Amino acid sequence: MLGNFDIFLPVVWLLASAGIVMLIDLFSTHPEQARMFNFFTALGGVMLAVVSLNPYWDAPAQLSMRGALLIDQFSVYLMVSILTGTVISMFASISYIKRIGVNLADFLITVLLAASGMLLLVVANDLIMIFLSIELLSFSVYVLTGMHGKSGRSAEAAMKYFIMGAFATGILVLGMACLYGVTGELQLRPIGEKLVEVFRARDGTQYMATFGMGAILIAFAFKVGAVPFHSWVPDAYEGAPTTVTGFMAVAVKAAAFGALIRVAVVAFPLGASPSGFFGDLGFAGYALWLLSAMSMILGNWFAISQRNIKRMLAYSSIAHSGYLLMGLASAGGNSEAYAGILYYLLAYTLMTSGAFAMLVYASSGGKDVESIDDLRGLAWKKPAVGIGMAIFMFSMSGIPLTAGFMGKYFIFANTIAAGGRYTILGVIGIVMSIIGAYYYLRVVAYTYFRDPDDKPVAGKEDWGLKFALSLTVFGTVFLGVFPQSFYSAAEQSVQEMRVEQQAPVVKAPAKDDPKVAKD
Amino acid sequence: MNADIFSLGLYAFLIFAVASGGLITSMLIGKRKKGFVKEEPYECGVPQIGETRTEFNVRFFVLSMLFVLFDIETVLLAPYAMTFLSDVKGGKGVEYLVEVAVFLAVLGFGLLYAWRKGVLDWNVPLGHSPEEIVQKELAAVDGKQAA
Repeated sequence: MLGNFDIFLPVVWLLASAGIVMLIDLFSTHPEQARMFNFFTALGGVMLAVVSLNPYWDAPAQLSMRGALLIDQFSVYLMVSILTGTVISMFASISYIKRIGVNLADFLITVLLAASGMLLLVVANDLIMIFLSIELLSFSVYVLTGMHGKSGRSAEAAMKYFIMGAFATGILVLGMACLYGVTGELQLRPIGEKLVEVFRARDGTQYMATFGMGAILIAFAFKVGAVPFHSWVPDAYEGAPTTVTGFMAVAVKAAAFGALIRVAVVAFPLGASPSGFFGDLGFAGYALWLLSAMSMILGNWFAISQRNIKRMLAYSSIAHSGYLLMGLASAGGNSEAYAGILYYLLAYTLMTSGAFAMLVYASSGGKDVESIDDLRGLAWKKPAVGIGMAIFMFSMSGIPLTAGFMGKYFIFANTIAAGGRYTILGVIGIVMSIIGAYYYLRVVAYTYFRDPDDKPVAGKEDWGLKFALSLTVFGTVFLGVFPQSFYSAAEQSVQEMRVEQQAPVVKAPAKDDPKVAKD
Repeated sequence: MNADIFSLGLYAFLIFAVASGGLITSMLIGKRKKGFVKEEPYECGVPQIGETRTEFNVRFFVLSMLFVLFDIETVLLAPYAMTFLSDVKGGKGVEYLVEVAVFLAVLGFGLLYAWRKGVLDWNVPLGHSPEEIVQKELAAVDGKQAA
């Protein structure tokens, strides 16, 4: 029995609206009317997808497709984050995409396909499904990156992203093959159970299992842009059309983090290590610790010296990956930590897509915002926009009354509470986010304390962009001032994760264990 | 176990040492002479003509993508054709027919897209004809040798 197909309903709505948009675009004779109709069809598809998530809000976890899909409240929360990011970038793109000479319908179709891949990724519960949905979302995002056909940099960015992404996917498959070879299972939960036995027995296959875990972690670290697998991030973010960059930064990251959390929590046994070297953390915990520390330090470090604002935001997104990874590394069996990560992802979605939409607003004369100098005096040209930009930057640097502050607070509090080596990680995170405030506040300083140039900003007539900006500004402030409802929703959504999915802790064999002595 | 790891490590070290040692030694004590012939890529002693990276009309790539699409379609439809009669007898005929119809519809969308975007339209003059490219490259080689 395949179980219920209702789980596919959100994806089906997205795909159906993509198909309709494509047909309208291909056969319409009035391009201008078709454009708006296409936009609202796509928007309707996303809205229907959100509505069709309704039955799963309070429902217990359900399996479908012989266990290949698992929909629980955790994935519903992530799906809502992803669809929010999608809607924001769609609104921000309406006239931007036309301005850079791209057919809006092509953009919408690709975004909808990418979003459907992301939705599948966060409900995927077996290795093949994870692989397929990562491919669906990656291919769509490669195309989106290269969509600015007339810009050589866009093509270059797409090529770089594609080659490195294909490589990362190859590593992902290699890791999956190793885990499958060791455990003989495809679904995450049985893999987790078998791996616990493998690491208890230590009969030699634990090296292969560790290799597999490492390869999967590398692939996910690539997708979320964690140091040292970050090198595609600045180039791809800089070259891609700005609204696409916003979409990449938020939705891809949310989806990849959802899958990473599920894989790491369900399939990777806590504290498992092939030998005594990794201590209590275990291999996966150790790797996540290092990835997170490096992402926080180097992401913030490189962002300081950037004058190109898109590259700066790219490095800042690497740093944000670091904070999220810190939450994941220190989470262990503590469900509040996962709630903190979910909350942070939602906050990150709003503030980052807002910041990229702001760059679209500030672009002038058919040219994208490149250097931070292009933002000179923006606040005096358009005071509301200045305030919005300041709110996003305050939120990213973690200043109170914004969403970013609450997100950082939850993650840092849980990390420090985890104690031990995570205290060091928490201290690194706090120090680096203070350093990070420098380059975020520099943007605010440029918008307020530099004399404006006389170039007009492009966003003035763009209602879609204005809507996206209002939504993100409102959301960022609202999440920062009233975090409670969103946080408790996140907390509730991870309850099941702790109860049902937490893989048991592997105790390292005692020193006088004969199996250790044999090594 | 430890002896294995030691010998494996020694082996890895020796590979690295021999490979990098040769390169480093030749870098330190070797002489470097550059010339047209030496810089030329070696291809079985045949003199090279032109670049390997020539531009093709993008239409070839798109057409080959379409080919792959429908090639895979055939591969995936073959098993369905094999089991079709037994499906019908087993009472699953309609269900599977709908599933295959969905699959074909998705592919049909792809073909429709390609058709409306003008991929299948070969009457548009090509950017380069093959003779033109060969002529251009021969001229380039002549120019290089003359210089």
